[in-house]
Amino acid sequence: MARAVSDMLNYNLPGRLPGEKIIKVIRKDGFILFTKIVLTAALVIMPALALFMILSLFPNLLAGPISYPLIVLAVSGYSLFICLFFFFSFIDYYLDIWLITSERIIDVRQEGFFSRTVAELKLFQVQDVASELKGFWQFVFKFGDVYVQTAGEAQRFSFSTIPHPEKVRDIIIRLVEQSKEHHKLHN
Amino acid sequence: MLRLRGGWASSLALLAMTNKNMTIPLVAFLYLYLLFILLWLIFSIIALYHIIRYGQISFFSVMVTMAYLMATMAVLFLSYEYLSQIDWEVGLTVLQGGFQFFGSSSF
Repeated sequence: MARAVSDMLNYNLPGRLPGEKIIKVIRKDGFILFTKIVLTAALVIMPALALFMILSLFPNLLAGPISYPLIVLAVSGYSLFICLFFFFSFIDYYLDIWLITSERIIDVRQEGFFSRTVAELKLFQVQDVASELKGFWQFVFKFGDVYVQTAGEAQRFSFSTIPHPEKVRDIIIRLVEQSKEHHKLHN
Repeated sequence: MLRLRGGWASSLALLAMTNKNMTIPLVAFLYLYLLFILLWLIFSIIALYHIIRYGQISFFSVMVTMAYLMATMAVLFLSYEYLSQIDWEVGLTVLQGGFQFFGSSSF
């Protein structure tokens, strides 16, 4: 029980190294959550308007012994679906996380209901770090991607749609230099 | 029930031509709804498990989780209030005379 509470209160670093400290916790930009909220609002407003128009055209639908229960069931089911849709959109946003520690970069991704992936790379393995702001919204709201390339890795490690990617790139570059210095001294 | 090889559309057409009625009890829709609620409940539990097991406790996450629980409880309570007053013995009549679907007089 105490362990579970501890895991909830702290980020559960997989295989925490001795002396390892969390430097930065990064989630996707708030704009991404905002788009999910807008989508949910559209999914609420559009059917509500359609129902309002139908009931305006056929007001006796609410008095029908068959149509009324069907409308209640449909509205109830749809409302619960929308609540769950938004809650899982939030979870998808909230649990997609990048942890930059003094030793590693950890990428935790929640993909749908049943998929969760955790990947990591050591800072001293990093060869190249690049940031990218692409498009109108990313330029206006200052969010974008950061790509981290390691030696011998064909694929890039990417942080997508995070706020202030240039600052994150600078932090990673600084930590990579410190980590490489540390490894030179100890090897 | 009369059936043709052409599938349900052909069956309905034949029913219409022979002027036979098909009644679906309204309570069948309630059972479908309850099945949906069961699935919804399973997915809600999975979602709550994710946020408790993998999420960091913060004001933001607690507020969103509480809002979700309160909103869904309100929807379920209101649904129960409305649905408990309904007469579920009524039947939905399909093909009541010719091609007139859903017998508009009772709908």
